[in-house]
Amino acid sequence: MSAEARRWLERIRALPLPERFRIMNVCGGHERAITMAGLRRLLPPGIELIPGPGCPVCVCPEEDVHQAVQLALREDVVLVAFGDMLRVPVNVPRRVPRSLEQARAAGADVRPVASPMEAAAVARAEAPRPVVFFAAGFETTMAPVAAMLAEGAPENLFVLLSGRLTWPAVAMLLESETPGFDALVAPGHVSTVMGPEEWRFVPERHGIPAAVAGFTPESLLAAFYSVLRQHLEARPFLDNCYAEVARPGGNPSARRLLAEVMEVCDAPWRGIGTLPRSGLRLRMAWRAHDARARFPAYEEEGRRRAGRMPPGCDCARVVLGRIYPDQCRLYGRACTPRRPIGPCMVSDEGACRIWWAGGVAS
Amino acid sequence: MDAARIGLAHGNGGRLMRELIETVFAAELGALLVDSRADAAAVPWPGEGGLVVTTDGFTVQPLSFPGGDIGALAVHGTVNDLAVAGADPRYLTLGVLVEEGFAIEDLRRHVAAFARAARAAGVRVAAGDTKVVRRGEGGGLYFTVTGLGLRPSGIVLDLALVRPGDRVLVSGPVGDHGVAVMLAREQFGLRGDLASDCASVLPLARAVRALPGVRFLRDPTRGGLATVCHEIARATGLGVRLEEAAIPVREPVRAVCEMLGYDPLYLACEGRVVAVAAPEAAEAALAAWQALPEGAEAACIGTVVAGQAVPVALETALGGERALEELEDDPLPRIC
Amino acid sequence: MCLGVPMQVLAVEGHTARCAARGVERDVSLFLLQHEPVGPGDWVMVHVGYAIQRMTEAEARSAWELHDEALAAGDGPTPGAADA
Repeated sequence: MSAEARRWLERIRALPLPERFRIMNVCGGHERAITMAGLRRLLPPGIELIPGPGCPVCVCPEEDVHQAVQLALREDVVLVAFGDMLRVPVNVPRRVPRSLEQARAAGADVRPVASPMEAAAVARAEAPRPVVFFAAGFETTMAPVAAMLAEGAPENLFVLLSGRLTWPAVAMLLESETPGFDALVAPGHVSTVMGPEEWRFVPERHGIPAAVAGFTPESLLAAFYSVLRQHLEARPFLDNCYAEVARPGGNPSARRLLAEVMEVCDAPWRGIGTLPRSGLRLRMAWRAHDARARFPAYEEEGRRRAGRMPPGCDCARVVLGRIYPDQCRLYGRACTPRRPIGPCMVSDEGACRIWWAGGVAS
Repeated sequence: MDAARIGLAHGNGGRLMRELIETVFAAELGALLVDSRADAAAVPWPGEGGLVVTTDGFTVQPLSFPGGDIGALAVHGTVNDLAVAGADPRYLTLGVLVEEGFAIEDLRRHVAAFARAARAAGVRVAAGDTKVVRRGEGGGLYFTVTGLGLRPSGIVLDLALVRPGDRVLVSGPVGDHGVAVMLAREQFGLRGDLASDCASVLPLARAVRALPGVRFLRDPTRGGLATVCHEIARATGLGVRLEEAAIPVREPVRAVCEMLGYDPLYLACEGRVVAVAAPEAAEAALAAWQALPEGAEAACIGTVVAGQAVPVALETALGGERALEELEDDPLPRIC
Repeated sequence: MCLGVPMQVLAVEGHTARCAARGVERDVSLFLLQHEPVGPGDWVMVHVGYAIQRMTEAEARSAWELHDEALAAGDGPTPGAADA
């Protein structure tokens, strides 16, 4: 363990800790760093790290995934997407492909990409055949998608956008009577793009301790220490434990391009329902690259499926940190990593998958 | 995964492949199977020592990559299965499936590489077969190789010997082959000249196979180190506890895993050995490996334990802990 | 929700930078960093192939460090005021 990480851990252990203290993060990247370093086992028992609504796989509405699967199967297109989305299941009858990966096994041309630039490269190579880029993610990922379009994308590239803002879901939780957490670790790279100031409403309007964290154990442990001490000294404020990258004001070019190419809109969150002004969609000026305009038929079909979760699936309440994964009726029974039903079990960083990996089997 | 059809994961060395073997091959072949658990099986024969047989298919893409090609890989992959079974390889057979339109000079180059590797491993080629498939129905060239070896009497390597407290060793850095092939394909826009660890592990196996207390050897290929540990845990009913800080991983492998969200413990190796040795034998085995050039970075990376909550656990470099699940699907590049 | 990796810029050509991290190279877009000059030797945080920020030395890991140092030196600013 690095000396700095150990120092933060020792400082945490030296604090007069409350009996129970729930720290929520809203970033799959944080969850991944916490899980890969095994941080949960290192912290004193009273501290609970809760994965909140911040992983594209968990919150991407089923109708968007369904639309992508149908497009891949029924149109002569190349469907490219980030690897995270290829195994997300949709609620369909048994024999029908229920994910993009199963659509590929059934003959659709589905390819994983690691960058919007690759999507553009595939489009250039496949021209004039249409290439649909299923781009799901939050502000950090939407800015590069906007940059790719603004820089000039091939004519045959169409974006099926499923963009989300991160703070609205946290605001919704804090405005409900039971937010389900005592402190927030704010997402490092969203703050890098949009600026940490976006998160000041958490301490200033709701009195909840908050700290922006990066993705190293040192930064995460420092953030845990900071919110604990804010709580103990009743001094909630927005700390920044990732100042080397998340600077005041964020990234002005990224924010300008985001505003130029996309606009904020109401958006459905899987299992949670529609949150006002929580999504991003392409502006009219970019219709020529909007897959929903190019393939309108699938738009309608997708909307009819809105909101439906697999029967008995409690992912919605797990995503919001309202219940622990093993309080869901399907957890460990019908829903396991081998046959995941809800998104929280599919995603490597979903709350249920993390509990399963921690040895909590049912 | 549509349970009724073959998916790519059925070939990745993980759970689905294991269940396919159990539910289709072992179920249909039944008693005809000598031993469906091992990669190489000893078959009864009148001669001295044990006759050990193995077979392996090679579908690597691209056909050539830094550190090797399909020809060398086909020899090493087969020889390695015999070596970790404690046998000295004697004969190979070579089955070739080549696609219509494939350049004969390219075929010659890969067969020449096969010959070089076979000479180095001291094996001869007892039989061969070549079939041509129609253009567009294959990846250009596939090799299937069967290997025959002789295990000197007195050498006993078997998972049944493994006891709690035994130590787990690895002969070198993990994940090199998986990443080298990815970089050779410039997949996901990543470039680098990391060489595959593709090599014969015969010297490594010979160095330790006769040491008292060395219980079991395996060469981690598809599915990587974690998959071998799951094989040990499942066969023994015990747990494996690895120490992340002790596991050698090259920097370019770590970098690619961070960029794409992969875990190096599941990436393919093609020239490494994992050994399980009694505590008192671990030092000697490690020293024997470290005396060899290909074992210079060998390390003791974990322990076999009883009563662990999960089959395979990892003590992280930070002192935390996480479970290493059995491999489900091949890794895909992630953004989150 | 955003896997990011620090990479060092080796060369810049238009909006593209050839970057490296521990022996692995990648062509990274600088299209999101048009507001500041980025040159060889700089470190950038890369997400999905785009540089989302140029990395700089951080003064402190947490405002509490500044607060405790000041406290030790006798004049304690409240961390609330010193947040980012």
